[in-house]
Amino acid sequence: MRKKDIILFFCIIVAGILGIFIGKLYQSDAGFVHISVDGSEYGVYSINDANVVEITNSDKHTNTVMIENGCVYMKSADCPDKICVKQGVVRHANEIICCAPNRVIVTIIQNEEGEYDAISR
Amino acid sequence: MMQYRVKRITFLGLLVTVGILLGYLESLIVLPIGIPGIKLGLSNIITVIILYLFGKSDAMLVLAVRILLSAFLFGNGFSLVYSLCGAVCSFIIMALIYRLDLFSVVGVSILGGVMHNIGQLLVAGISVMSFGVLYYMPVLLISGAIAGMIVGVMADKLIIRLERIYKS
Repeated sequence: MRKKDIILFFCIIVAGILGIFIGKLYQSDAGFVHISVDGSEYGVYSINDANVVEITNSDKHTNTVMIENGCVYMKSADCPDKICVKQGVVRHANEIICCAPNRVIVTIIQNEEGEYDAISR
Repeated sequence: MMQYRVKRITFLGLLVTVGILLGYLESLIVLPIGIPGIKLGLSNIITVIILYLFGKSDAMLVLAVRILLSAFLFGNGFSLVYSLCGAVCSFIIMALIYRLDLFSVVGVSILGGVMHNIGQLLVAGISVMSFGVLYYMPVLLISGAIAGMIVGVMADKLIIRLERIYKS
């Protein structure tokens, strides 16, 4: 191991920590929960309204998304790995819960303008 | 030189197996990051070892075999794309840095780990069509660097020992 390697390591760590702080500074308010299934928009829900969203995708697989107290989590899913369920709770803008086998993507967005508000076409 | 070829293929085959096992063990550790396919990056140790002992062609070969087998055994179509993208980004940088000799094994591993995560993030960003995924970039930078450092330190020790075993 050379000195350069240690410098590299700390540079990246510092960049990461800075990134976390900058992220917190410019964090937008969590407004809505955007759910997409099989690649297309399934629904947009306000994060402030308690909700239980039952999803069935085109392969008849089910996911249950819970929205309560400004938090979102995957209550249950019939996928084999259940990583989405184990992931826990998200509450900040841009956080994502994804069930890859069932092609369900749950994103927290700021406003309900739709999924293309970040990339202009 | 038939003996040499058999020895090399056997050795590489064993390393592929270890790589797949590491990948499986990694997948048991659930990370609190919503992006599918984000792993610690421990299986990168195999790629680094082969890069230093056998060169980039063999490293690429083992990488491809390992990813395909892992995807078919444990993953799905999605995970294959994520793995491939992460591996390509990671490997290009590692091979380049190795060739240019800018850093030691540790540095190569760190950059490999970080680039793997960046590659995964890119695929995730494209699949949800949003820059929002960059939210996870700082965490991935840190975890990629730490995993890379651990992999690099281990690889540093292993490369010397494995070389001795292989040449004996």
